[in-house]
Amino acid sequence: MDGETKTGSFPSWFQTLVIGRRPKWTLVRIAIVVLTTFVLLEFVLIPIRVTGVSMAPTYENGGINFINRLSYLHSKPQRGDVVGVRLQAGEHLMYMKRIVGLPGETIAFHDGVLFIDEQPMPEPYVKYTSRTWQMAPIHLGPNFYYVVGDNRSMNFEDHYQGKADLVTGIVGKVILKGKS
Amino acid sequence: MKLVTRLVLLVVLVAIGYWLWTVFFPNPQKAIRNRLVKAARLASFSAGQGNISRVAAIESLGNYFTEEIEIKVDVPNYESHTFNRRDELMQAAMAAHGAVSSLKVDFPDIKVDIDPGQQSATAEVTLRADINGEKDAVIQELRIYLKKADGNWLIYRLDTLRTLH
Repeated sequence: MDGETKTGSFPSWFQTLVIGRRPKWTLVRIAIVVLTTFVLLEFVLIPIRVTGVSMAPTYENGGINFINRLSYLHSKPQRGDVVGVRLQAGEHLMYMKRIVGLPGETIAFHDGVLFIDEQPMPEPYVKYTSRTWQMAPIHLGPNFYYVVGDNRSMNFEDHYQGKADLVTGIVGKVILKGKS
Repeated sequence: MKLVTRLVLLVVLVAIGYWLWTVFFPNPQKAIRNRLVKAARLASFSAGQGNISRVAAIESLGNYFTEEIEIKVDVPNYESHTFNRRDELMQAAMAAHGAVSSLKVDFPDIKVDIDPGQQSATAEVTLRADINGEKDAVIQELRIYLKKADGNWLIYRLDTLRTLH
């Protein structure tokens, strides 16, 4: 018998595959990956799972996405941005809506059409429409944005929407684009 | 070496002791959180659950409220209700069991503020209710007011809040 057998220990190629040629550096690399992931997921990106149909068909029920907390650090939200809106008690659940109205503007819905400052606003992302949506004009104060979902085929009363504050409400921008 | 082993054992024992202390004597925040989680569990029911266990759960749920209550439920798409007595709330809970086949209630977020006197508290919670297993759950923010009575935190007022104005 020429072959050397080592009972109870792994073959060297397996050890190299799992922990590398220099285990100390492998440990350092693992620590860096873990730390980076922690910082990213704790302070920058919030992973979310879409539930419900209010953003259909752009974002379907069950889809996975991320919210970038830093997206509005140096710039203001723009019309058309899809954002996460936090609830007061915490961030385990949040609303995912599209910004349609900016601070200082007046928002209204007439026969399903969005009006900004009394002018109709084209919304190419809205695929499911309804002519039943009616809403009297609402004026947005400073720092307030009007957010609403893309699925306008829902009953107006069933569709949760309204004013969100940039400071305490809007968490960040959704980074993965949905179906256009 | 023996000393190191003894020290490690001591640290482990102290950690277990501290953990047991927090389990049996939780701080008010934790006690309120635990109580709200239990209340949510009691409010939930499945389609296959028997009538006796449903009634028992509703009766247990009653122990989480004071006799006189002030509960205003104003959820979009649902009729608004005001309850002033615990009995009325229990009757409504009983009626809900007849109206829907299953209900799963949970509070994914609970934020508790204890008043300086440690005898009353306010909890802001996010409620998620899955009704009849539908994919669109009801999400509602609540502000719950509690006070301490006979060592237990009891709910005496509950308001529904609107996140988007």
